[in-house]
Amino acid sequence: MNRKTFLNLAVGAGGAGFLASMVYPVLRFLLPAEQTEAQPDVLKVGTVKDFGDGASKILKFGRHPIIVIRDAKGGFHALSATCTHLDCIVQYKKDEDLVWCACHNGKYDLSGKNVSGPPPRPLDKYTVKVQGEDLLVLRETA
Amino acid sequence: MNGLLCSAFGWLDERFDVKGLVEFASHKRVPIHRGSVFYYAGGVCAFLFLLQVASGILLLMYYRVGTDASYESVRYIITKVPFGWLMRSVHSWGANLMVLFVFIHMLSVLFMKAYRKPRELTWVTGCALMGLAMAFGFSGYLLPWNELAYFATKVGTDIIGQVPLVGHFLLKIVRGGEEVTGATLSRFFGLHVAILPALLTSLMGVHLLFVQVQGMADTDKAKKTMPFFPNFILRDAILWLLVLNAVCALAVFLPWELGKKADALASAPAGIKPEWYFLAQYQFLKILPGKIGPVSGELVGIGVVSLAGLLFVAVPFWDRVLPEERRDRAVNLFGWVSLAVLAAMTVWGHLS
Amino acid sequence: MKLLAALLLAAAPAARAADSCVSCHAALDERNAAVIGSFARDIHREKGLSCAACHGGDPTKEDMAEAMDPAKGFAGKPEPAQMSQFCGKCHSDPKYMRRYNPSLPTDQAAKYATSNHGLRLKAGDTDVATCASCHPAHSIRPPKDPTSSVYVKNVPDTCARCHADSKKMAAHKLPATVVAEYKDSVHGKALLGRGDTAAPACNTCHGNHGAAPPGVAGIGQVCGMCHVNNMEFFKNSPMSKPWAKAGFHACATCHTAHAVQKPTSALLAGDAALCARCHASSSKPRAVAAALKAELDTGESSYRAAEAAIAQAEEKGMDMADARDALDGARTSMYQARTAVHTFSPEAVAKVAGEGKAASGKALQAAQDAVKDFRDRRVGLGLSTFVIAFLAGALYLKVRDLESGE
Repeated sequence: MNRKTFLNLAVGAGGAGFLASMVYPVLRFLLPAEQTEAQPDVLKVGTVKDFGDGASKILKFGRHPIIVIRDAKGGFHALSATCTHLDCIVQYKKDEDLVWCACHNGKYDLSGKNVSGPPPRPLDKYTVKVQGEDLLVLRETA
Repeated sequence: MNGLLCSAFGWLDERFDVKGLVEFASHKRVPIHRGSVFYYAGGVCAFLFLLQVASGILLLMYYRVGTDASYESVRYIITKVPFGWLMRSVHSWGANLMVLFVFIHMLSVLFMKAYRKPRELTWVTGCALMGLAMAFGFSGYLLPWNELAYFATKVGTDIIGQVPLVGHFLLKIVRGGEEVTGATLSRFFGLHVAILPALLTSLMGVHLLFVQVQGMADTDKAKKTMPFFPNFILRDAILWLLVLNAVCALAVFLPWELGKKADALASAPAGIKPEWYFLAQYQFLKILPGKIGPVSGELVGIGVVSLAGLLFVAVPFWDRVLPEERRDRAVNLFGWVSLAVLAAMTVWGHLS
Repeated sequence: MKLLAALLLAAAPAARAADSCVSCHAALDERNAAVIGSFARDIHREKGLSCAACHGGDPTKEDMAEAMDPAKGFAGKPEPAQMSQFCGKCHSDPKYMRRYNPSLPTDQAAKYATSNHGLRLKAGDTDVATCASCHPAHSIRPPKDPTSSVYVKNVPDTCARCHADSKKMAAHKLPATVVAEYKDSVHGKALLGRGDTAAPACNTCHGNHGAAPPGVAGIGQVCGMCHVNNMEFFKNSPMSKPWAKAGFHACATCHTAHAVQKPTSALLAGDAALCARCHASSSKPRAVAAALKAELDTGESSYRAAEAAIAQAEEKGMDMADARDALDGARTSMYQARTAVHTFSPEAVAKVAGEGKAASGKALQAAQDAVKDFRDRRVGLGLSTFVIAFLAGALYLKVRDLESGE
């Protein structure tokens, strides 16, 4: 093998290796990730039909758990589901029509206001929008 | 294999006179002298632009525009998408290096007096390309919709509003309203991924065409030359590889931060500063007093900065009217003073 | 000072300028002047009441005998035994109180009569707390006012004025350590240390005007006001009946009444085990307690492991938001597992602790993945640097070769 062929071979091999090291990340980048979409600021929590009167659901809104409630009168509410006392997950108490934390008997009304027990602050509120049949939760903006 | 390539070449040549192009290219030579190293700067700019196009297109596969999605999608790219962190950091670091190399390219052309006749238009298109590169940087900076970008954009666009008579009108066009909002984000996105790429690509085409037609400026009257193809282009390639490696290393060791999501109601965090390539102008405007005579300090500042820019663009036209024996020294002085002022203002802006 | 106090009082509602109580007592001596001065900020004064509203007499008369004439209802300073009637004149009269604060209860005096303070007083012991012991006469503020002696954060110190006084308590054969114990307890630290005004003060468990120990029957209910699940679980557990029979305090037997500490699994088994007080060491209940402890301990250790791994990954600059979420879930589960101990059923504890361990495991995995990813990035960079260096070197030699031929 003469010098020229050797150099051509080296450049060819190097070029092939280089291409491979470029193509691999690009292909991996383009292959869909486990979670195939970015989580935006709007969350579809289901359809109106999913929520009977007095039904509630705990969901993840971005990184935070929220509780979506349909009260007995049919109104929708969305609140942060993390109790402001010691971060337990709250639940909807249909019979009392309020949000209740089982850890220390903290209670909030459906607007998130802490009404009894140890919670020091109200729950953060989210906006619920009904779009056709779909139920959307949005971050509350001032 | 070789036979197939030959017949493909023949097929193309029959239709497009490729032989003529090859013939032209093979005659192109690059002068060899002590300033030859600066001939590579332009190539690096072009390479970095291609890198920006490639990484930008990849980011577009996941990026979503909107105040409710931009930040979230960038966060998603850098945390969930495999190699997403790499693409985003390469794009951010590549942008900064591109602006840096455009500066180096431009200053070397200035000091080597390569802009002189017949290359005045190459210089002017180069200046325009630099302006576009900075516009790219400014518009791209906002797209992750994070706190720093939001306030930097607010401050940056405020300056546009200071322009007399049409300032407010321009501000509303740039921001898509009175304030920096989702409308601004949409505009900057459109600018960044459609308008600027089209403008920069076409202008770069013209710029390169000029260079190819006129050849490399040989201001040193060099005795030795080397062929452009393949010698120079191979040397170019080596440098490009090294630059690419440097960008990747920066992405791994100094990943570009995302920070907190922009919040229009939050108070501006301390130390809001524009990107380093706007810092000199920013600092200059900041140190001016509120009023200079009857006009506002900012207006004077904008005037001075615009005038300096214009002086820079017009170098090929004013340097020829100077007496020949003092021409080089005058341009060198202009270059060094500009560089010193820019550097001093940038450092000052960085430290303050 | 005297003058200032007199001025302050006189200046309030201008019409009451001629109050002989104020003008005389402010000039009497330091102590009297101080009383007049502090009364300016008393809630009763703010509502427009004057000295005579409580003490009777006629403040329009300059002459002392006339002004302090018992025939005109002058009562002077009430004796402890009369105190609740003295305040109750108004505070037990719903019709009268409606004028000032329609929502204020009017049963304080009745409740006081049922309190240990009231009962002892009735039995002839005058060394007891009466109204003015907690609501200092002449500087009474409503309980919502942070400067009030009965503001939730000030209650422990108000009770401590007597209940931490060992001489006083010894006379009544009561311990003087309760307030100190409380201040060192989870509740005291939450209220006084963290400033969590929702945490219980003395009166939350003992009542205000009807203050008394909740008693064996009541203590579970009282704790259950906040610790709902703990109470429910315990009531339905096999422990509940034997305890009632043995006359144990439902909660206080293990957790104490005032010195409640953050419970650890060490209460269940080992040297500090509370179960060992009744159950023999090789008995079945001790095995159950050991199983409960094991569940809590493994849950706790997997939580700690995940937490440490996340901290390590974050130090390397990796985004650990999702892992932190999983860890938050684990924390809630471990919280529930500790509550479930009151069922005394290892299965019930294992169920929630298992959820916690699964969440901790997920968080740990995410953190380890992130650390691995961090290393992979460097390895990847090293590999591509090698490839690029090789190609660049080959190209350089190629160029040299080309140029040597020319």
